[in-house]
Amino acid sequence: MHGFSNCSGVKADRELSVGKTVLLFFACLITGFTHAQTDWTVSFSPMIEQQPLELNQTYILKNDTFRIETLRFYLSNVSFLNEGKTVFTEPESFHLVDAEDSMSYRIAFHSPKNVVFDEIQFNVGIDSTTNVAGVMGGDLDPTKGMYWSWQSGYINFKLEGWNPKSTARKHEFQYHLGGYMAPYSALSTVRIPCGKAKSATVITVQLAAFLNQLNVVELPAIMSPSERAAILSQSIPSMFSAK
Amino acid sequence: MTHRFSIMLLVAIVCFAMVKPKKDPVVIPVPKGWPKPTYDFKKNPLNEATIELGRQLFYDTVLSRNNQVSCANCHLQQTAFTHIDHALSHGIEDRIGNRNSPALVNLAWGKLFMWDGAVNHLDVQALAPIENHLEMDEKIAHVVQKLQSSKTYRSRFYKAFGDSTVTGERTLKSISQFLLNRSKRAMNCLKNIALLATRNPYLRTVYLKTTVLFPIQRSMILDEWALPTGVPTHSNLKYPHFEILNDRLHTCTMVDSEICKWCYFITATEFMPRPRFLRNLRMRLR
Repeated sequence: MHGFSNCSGVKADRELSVGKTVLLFFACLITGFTHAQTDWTVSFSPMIEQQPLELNQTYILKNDTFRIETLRFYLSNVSFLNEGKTVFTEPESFHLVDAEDSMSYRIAFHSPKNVVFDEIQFNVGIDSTTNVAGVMGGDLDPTKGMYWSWQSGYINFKLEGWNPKSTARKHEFQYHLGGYMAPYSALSTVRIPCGKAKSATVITVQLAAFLNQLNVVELPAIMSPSERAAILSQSIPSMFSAK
Repeated sequence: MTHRFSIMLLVAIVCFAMVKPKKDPVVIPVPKGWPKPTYDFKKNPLNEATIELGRQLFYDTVLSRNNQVSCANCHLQQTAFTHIDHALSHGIEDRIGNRNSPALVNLAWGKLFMWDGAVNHLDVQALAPIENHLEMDEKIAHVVQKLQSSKTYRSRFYKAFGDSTVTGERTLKSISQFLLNRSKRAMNCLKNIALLATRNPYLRTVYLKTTVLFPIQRSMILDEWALPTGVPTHSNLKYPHFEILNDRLHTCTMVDSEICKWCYFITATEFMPRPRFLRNLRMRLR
């Protein structure tokens, strides 16, 4: 508790000294509290093989040509583990990661305690409880373009773009993966190891792993909760890895 | 001493500033013997300012793409907020919809909304007609943008939420507040119509468009009438729909040759003469 030594300098003039002591006391309290806290960040880096993702840029993968126009996904229930035990769970944990907004790539965490972790766990998407709880604000606001209006529920993961092989209009493809009800729940959990005691962790989102799974000839679009959406969602966790 | 006084004054000012403008809370009375409402009022506590904001939104065409269609276009107040003149409601640019707007009664007890039960919460129901291309054909993000640019709405949002920022959440929650508050008046409207409806099949359809009715309410009319012969059967219905049985929504299981009293309304009004007195209904109900 450094800072307490300052308190010894209190002198006469009673009325003023009372005010000063109170102020100093609070100052000491604040410095005392801030001492043990931890601030750290987790950032996402979407990649296509070795190149960082740029929207509307053409990439060649194996025999396929791709252009990504939209990439947006929800991250929820983020927790940190150390040697297999949960050491920190973020309260009210909902984040929208949007390729159009590079600020959304970086998520800041704060804990009053000292947190050391070697694993990160999170859901890609929104849990069923939140899906039936009515309208939400912040990143969950329906204006974010991640809510189905005609059939209640959040879109967990949205990827839209262009591939000349696509059989859809203008050779576009649209994958809106979501669905919270059994048997077609599209929520996926990611648990990945990361280096210990880092103030900034970078998670690579390897889109090539997902793009290679797609069949844009037979199935250029998924727009509702379904078996196909649930199956494709299972390949989401394989995209994430920490450096 | 002046020092102490000034500190006290400062504290008083800070305390005063922290007290938010007092809102008038509104409580929806639950009639004796009724079940507990399914709507969680704790998450969206009703108050006069927000109900008023919701009322403005409900009657405002700003919710539609071309600013010409409001919720009230199809949810007409005088008939318990349903659209009884039409088999199918018409939306933006006179596009004929796939359904007729249901009556807005007992909404605090609703578990599923829309005729196919695809909406799971009252707060998100309004998104469906706003974004349906046959109804209002708008995007909620654009609605929020339009409201934010209106000085009048900024001040209404300030009164309701203590902050003039318009969000999708606030917009939808205030519409819910209006509907929850209004649905008890819609029930009174139903009671009035009941007196006329025993003679008039046209008004009976208002009851059939009520997705949640309790036995006491239903007995006011439904037990008293029989379906006329020669009405369309299930083969006419193109969309999944629900019926109410023992106060719970069920997927209708009737086969083509049978007539479901509950689903009958969708096509029924097409075959019915238009009652002359309907024009004066508003006056009669006074």
